[in-house]
Amino acid sequence: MIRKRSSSNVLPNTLGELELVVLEALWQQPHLDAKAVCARIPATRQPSLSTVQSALERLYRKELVERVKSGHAYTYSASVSRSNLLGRLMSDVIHLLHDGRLETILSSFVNVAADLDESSLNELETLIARKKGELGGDR
Amino acid sequence: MINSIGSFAAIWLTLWLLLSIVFALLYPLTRRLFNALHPRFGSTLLLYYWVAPFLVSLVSAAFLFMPSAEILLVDSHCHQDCQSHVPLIDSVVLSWFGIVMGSLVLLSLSVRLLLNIRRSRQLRSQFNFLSQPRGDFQAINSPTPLVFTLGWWNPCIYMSEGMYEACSGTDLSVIMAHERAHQERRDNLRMLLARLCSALLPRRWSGRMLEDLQLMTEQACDFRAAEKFGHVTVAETLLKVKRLLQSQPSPLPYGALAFAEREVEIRIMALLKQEQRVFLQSWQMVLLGITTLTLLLLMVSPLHHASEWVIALLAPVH
Repeated sequence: MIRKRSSSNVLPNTLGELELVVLEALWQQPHLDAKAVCARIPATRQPSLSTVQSALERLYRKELVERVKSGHAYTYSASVSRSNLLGRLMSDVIHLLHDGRLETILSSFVNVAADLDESSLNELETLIARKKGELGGDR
Repeated sequence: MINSIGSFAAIWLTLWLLLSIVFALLYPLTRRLFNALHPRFGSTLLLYYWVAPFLVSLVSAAFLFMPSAEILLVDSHCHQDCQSHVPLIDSVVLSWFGIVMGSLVLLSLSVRLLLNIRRSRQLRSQFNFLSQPRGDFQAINSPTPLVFTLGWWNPCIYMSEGMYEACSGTDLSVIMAHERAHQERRDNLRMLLARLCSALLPRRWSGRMLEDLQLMTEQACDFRAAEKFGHVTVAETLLKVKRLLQSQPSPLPYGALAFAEREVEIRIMALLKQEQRVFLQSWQMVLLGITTLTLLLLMVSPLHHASEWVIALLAPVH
């Protein structure tokens, strides 16, 4: 059966705020168990241990963290770097801009999802140069 | 009460659908007019054009169900007792049908709006978390060149290090002026409004309008940047950024979108031929507003009779 993608996972690498905070803790210090991750989260947003465990579980399912059984608990490490995650996120944005699914959320300076052939670009460059010559500078 | 709500919903939806179809059919004729205008006015009027079927149908339907407006705006006529009246469906089944359809449409629009809000918030919180504030924008530590404005009420500009490092000071100033224009005009919100208000039209019909609106919105921001830096400088920056993006390893199967392929070309040509665009004066905009309002008020009487005629076909009239 073909399942239609739900809107909640339109961005494949979508992460909640807590998941990001948990990842940040693991980027700073790998091989932490849930309790240690919980302790590293700023006091201003102190979530319960079970909430952090759920976030770690979600990150594990999204393959963003690795875990190793250590006694009764798991220790976790980030399996994706900050820059790698950013790269994935940027790639998602570019793909979704291409599909037109983000056009009501963000606007980009130049459409990244289309190509112009070299001769068209050269032609435009000539036109700009000619206009510049006519005006003797536009300012 | 059921009859009133059902009649209102049925009339509003029918009007919205009919007006949407009429506006969509007329669009190939009016499109040229919008394109002839300065993009600042063109983009605003185009937005009004596509929001109009929703708003006009809602306001007209509201007028139809206001007894005071009925006395003023509808020519006097009698059915049985010559009392002031509103067009009512005298059938419980049809009234409920109107209520159910109206509720479904409102529910679908609300769900779409909420999903968009959620998606926007998620995306924004992720980028905020992973980026650093730098002056007027958030700097994203990524070599992929990208700059965009994200959000509706309080949009924020995001620029990657790849873009920042590849551009000269002038290019960055032009890009920021363009993105600031998006911020000030709240263009993402405009696009969302247009999308929601054209929800009754098939995607094939509304797609072209949304593409045109997006293009005109970009042009409006180009022209805003050009007020400060000159049209040729903005055109040069557009071309430079386009070349920069194309020099990157492509994450996408390029060339699938005919509109997007030509987008930069159209924008550059618009900047180079900026003197051909018509600049509307304030009095012309006011005149346009007054004309629209007058037409709206004049529509109430024929709409009242048309509604009664349609209702009479379906069920006995009150």
